[in-house]
Amino acid sequence: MKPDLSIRIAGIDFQNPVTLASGTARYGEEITEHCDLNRLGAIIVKGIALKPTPGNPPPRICETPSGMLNAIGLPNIGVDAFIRDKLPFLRQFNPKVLVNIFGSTVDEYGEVARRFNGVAGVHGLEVNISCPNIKEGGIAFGTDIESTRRVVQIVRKATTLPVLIKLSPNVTDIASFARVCEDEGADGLSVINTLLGMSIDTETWKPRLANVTGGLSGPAIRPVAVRMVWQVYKAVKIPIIGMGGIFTVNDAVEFLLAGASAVAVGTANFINPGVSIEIVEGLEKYMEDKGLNNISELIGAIKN
Amino acid sequence: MRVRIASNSCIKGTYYRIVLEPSFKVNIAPGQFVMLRPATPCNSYDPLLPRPFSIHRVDQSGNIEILYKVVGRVTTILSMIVEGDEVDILGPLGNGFPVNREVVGDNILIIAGGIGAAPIIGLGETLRTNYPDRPIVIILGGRGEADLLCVEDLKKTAAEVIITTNDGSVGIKGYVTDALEEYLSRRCDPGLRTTVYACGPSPMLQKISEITGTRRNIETYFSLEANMACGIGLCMGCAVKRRDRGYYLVCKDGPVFRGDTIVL
Repeated sequence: MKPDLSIRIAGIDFQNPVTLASGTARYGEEITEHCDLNRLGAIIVKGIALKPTPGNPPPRICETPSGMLNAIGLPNIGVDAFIRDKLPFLRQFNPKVLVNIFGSTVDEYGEVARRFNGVAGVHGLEVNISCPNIKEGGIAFGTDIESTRRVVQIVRKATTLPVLIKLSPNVTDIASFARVCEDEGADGLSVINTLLGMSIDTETWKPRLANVTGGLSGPAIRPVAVRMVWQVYKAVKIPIIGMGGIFTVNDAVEFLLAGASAVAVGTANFINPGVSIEIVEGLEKYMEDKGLNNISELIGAIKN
Repeated sequence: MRVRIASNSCIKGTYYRIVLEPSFKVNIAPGQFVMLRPATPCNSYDPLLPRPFSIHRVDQSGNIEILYKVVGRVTTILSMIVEGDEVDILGPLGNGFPVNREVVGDNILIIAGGIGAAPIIGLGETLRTNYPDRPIVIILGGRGEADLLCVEDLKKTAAEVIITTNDGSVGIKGYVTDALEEYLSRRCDPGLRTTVYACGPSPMLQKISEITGTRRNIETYFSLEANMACGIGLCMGCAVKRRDRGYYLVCKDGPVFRGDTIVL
């Protein structure tokens, strides 16, 4: 008997727990040539705001030990263009579509969320309160507990869709942020966004990113992410999508054991855009090898 | 795609040629690139990201040749790879140099600085084949003699190869852009359409833009470099400023751009 990888998260049925992380697969079009989208649990699209935004000047990325720094700055086509031009493409595929949303004010978060009510092909919202690369509309909300509360409240009120909040790791006590999200009616949490970092070129003495600081991702942050998933899992009842440097099936299993109900593959897509499918296949094999029937047997199963 | 290395050797100074043996047939347009990452032992994460390299040429047996300069950590690692080792590649990617009738002028000028010579061999050969009646002039420059690549190959392609070096060790002492100015003001009929293709460091392209921007009847096409994580438009890391608004992505919209559509 094949193991059952399906999982229900925040009221959404995923055929398996493997998803593409926001900002690493755009709106799905480019990656399809290299990755069979139909075999994924969900795709979390790149951040969408009310109005189009251009993103940051280059250089936007650089490699660091076992990781990369980015300050892309959330270039986005705006909610109307997304619904009109990009969503029809995504509707052709099996995976659930979670739309990552951001705003520059609390009200804007509410307004973007409202626009997705009743829109076919959108199964949930992932609210980005943790992008480290834009002045407003990201980390400013996610690192302040009362701002986090207000964003969750307004989005909760604005939408009938399942709401996941993407938490920032750039806080002292992530569990307290998770609790606020749960208290205010969030249906799930994405843990974690990138860690704020910086790198300087010792030849030119200039920062290696035009934005000076950027978000660190990749295997370098995985232990931090696993720790935070575990802390959040102990603090709340709502499900977690775990992410942070997942490159292999073992990395994915580590997040599930720490308490994630699903995982998102991010930076690894850049190195191998088909890696998420390898992780789906690897997960099936891992469960067979371990004699597991249901993916839920792994969730939070850490022995300690 | 994992491919075997047929050879990897120094051609001169810090410049290397790596030859890949793909198991698939490759059709390339001059100016396209591949993302390349050494197939590291035990899936180590150093280097983590693949790097973009322009394709120098595809030889008769279908092998892909890439020229590179050892400038940092990743190219140093690359230079230590030997025949029989493997690398992961993705590509060919991006849009090459346009060579259609609407673009190619009566005069053809190709300008390359340093490692920028890598993709222009194929461009020169394509232009010569498609437009045998139009003279191709190539301006090739480097800091010194050691930075001049493919001189003999270029001489076979072009009606004329003008060489410049900053130290004056070979050819005209100065920059390729000095030679360009000289050529345009003394030898190029402003009544004819001129197409300029260029590949080289950003300051060189900027200067070419300045020189050609004040003259009529010249169209420029630049091949750009950028920090890039994926090469296929996922990461949006390789932004270049558009002249009108916002940004292009070097990987998807380029790497070759019409000079007057971008801000360098």
